[in-house]
Amino acid sequence: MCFSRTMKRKKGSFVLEKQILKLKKLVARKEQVILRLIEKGKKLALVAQKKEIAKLRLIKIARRLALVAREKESARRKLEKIAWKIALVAKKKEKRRRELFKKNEEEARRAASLTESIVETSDSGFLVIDHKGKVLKANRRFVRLWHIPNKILVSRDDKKLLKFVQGQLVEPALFMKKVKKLYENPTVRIHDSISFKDGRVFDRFSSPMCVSGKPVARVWSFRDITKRKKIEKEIQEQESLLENAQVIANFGSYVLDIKSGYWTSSKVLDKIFGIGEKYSRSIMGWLKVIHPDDRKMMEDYFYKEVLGKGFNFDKEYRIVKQNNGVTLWVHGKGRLEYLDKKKKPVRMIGTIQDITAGKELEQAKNEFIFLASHQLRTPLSGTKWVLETMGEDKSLSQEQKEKIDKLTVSNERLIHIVNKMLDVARVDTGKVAVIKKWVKIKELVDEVVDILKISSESNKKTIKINIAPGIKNIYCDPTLISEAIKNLLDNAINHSESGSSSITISAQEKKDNFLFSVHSKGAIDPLIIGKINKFEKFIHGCSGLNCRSIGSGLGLYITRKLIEANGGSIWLKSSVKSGTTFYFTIIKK
Amino acid sequence: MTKLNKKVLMLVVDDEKMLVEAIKEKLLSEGFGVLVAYDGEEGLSLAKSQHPDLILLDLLMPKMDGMTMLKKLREDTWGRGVPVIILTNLSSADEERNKDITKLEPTYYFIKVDKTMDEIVEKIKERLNLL
Repeated sequence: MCFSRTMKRKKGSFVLEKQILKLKKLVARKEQVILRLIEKGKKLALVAQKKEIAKLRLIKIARRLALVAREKESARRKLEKIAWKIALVAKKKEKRRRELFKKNEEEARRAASLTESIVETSDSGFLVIDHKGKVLKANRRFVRLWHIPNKILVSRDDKKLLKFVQGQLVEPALFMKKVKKLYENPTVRIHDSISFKDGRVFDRFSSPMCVSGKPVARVWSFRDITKRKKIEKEIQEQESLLENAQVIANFGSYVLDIKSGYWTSSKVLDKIFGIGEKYSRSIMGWLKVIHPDDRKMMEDYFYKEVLGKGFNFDKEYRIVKQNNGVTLWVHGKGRLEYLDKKKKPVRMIGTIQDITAGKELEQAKNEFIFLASHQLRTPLSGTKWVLETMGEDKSLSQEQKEKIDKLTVSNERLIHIVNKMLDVARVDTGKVAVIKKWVKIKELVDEVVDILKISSESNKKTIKINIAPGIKNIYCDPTLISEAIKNLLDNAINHSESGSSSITISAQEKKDNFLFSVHSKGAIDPLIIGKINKFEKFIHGCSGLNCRSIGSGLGLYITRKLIEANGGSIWLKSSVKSGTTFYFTIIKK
Repeated sequence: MTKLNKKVLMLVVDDEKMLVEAIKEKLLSEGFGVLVAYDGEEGLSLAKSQHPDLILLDLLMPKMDGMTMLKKLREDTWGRGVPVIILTNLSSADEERNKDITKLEPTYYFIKVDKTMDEIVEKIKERLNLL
């Protein structure tokens, strides 16, 4: 600027003008540049604007892209998760598959081994033949049942097998025909039996072996049923025997189901009751068969004694045959059966026997005893009393007196025998009246010994009583027991060693009973001791001419019956060394 | 053998004449008064009219048997307490009869063949407190 001011002072206006022009030109140029610049600026602004818009748009797009990307990311993650899960499941599945496979394999192996052991241990013989006639399997049992030699077995040839076995059969042709037919029809099954020449019988079963529903082979199984057939036959025979036995003995049987109250019956029972198939076999039905007079008693007996107390059924009663109204006597016996001892009975099995004939006989027998006791004893008692009157006559001579005495003795013997025979008839019917009460046993024995005093003294026998001090009262029938003791003592007096000796009657208390014994000297002949031990009728402790007894041979038999009626037993021991002892028991109350 | 100056009276009811004779003779010799009947019917009417001190009664008899007679006797006011000894040859094994007998309360049930007349007389005296 310093230059421009100097120029103004020296040259003047020209220079100035020139400069102004120049300046003007410059300004114009500047203006042009500015314009151009403005233009450029404008253009630039436009571009910038456009750029800005584009940028904005880009930003928007970028934003959107980012959003999409984000969504994509989340989706990817989700997908990743799912894929992970799928992979896990797949893994598990794979594991499971492997396990299952392993298990299946194991099971298959086990099944195979099981089948093998079943096949081998079975009592059936197994044979599997494929369609080409090759033996796929033959177990040991099969080989043994058919006696197959190893040579044929290893050939695995069914034809050879068939050729070999048919020689053993009763009907080989029929067997072969059937086999051929079956091989022609692979799906057919059969079940029959085949008989062997050696008597054996086989159960035969054949069926196709299928794989996926298609028959690929044929399985044969054989079982030796010879024993079963035999047993079946025996059972059949026994059943028919039992039935015949029931018919012969007029013996029916039944089974009563306690819960339902219904019973089944054998044919004979139906015949005894006179009932048909449709008869209602209930407890009511049974009661209906019973004679009206016995019905209440039997109903009480069945419910109270049998079902109530669990006793065995054992009763004689009358029934009315349903088809013809005839009254019969039957003896019913039965036993309750339990599944568990503590529980209620489940059923009763029993028999019913028609005892009408026996009952009639028994009645006849009772009537006989009734009459005979009267008819036989009346003249004997008349003689007894008349002889007694005569004996008291003071005017009789010694000889007359002796004769009367002899008559009295023989009359007494006759009375004794008649009485014993009546006793036997009585005890044989099993109708000994038993009236038990508390008895002072010492007094009872004393009384009996007293009665036998004369007889024992005349035989030079002393009777010793040895009752254990603890025994006071015994619950028994005094008539039966004193009669039994009297018989045994009587026996000892008359049959023991002759000459003076003592007889001992003893009593001891045992756990369940009182044990009595009558001991005397002298042994019983060993030859007849067996017979005596049975306490049968008409047995004497002596034989033939040696017999010095006046017995009826009935004493021991009656004694046994009396003891048994009172609920005891009797036996004896005899030896030369220790003499003879009769034992009997009285059960405790 | 007197009781308040009056003979002790026995009634024997039995259809067996030989036995009746024997026992009658025995009882008379012992000083008893003796009435005799040969069946239950006769026995019952004699008992009711004569009121004996004791009756010896058989069981098996015509017209009316001893058990029936005893039953009817026990229905009577006087007869209810009279001592009766059954004297028979029937064994007492029949359960039914045993029950009846127990109910009718005879003093004794004797089997004739098992007893001497002496023994019977002794039991009579025992029952009537004459010993």
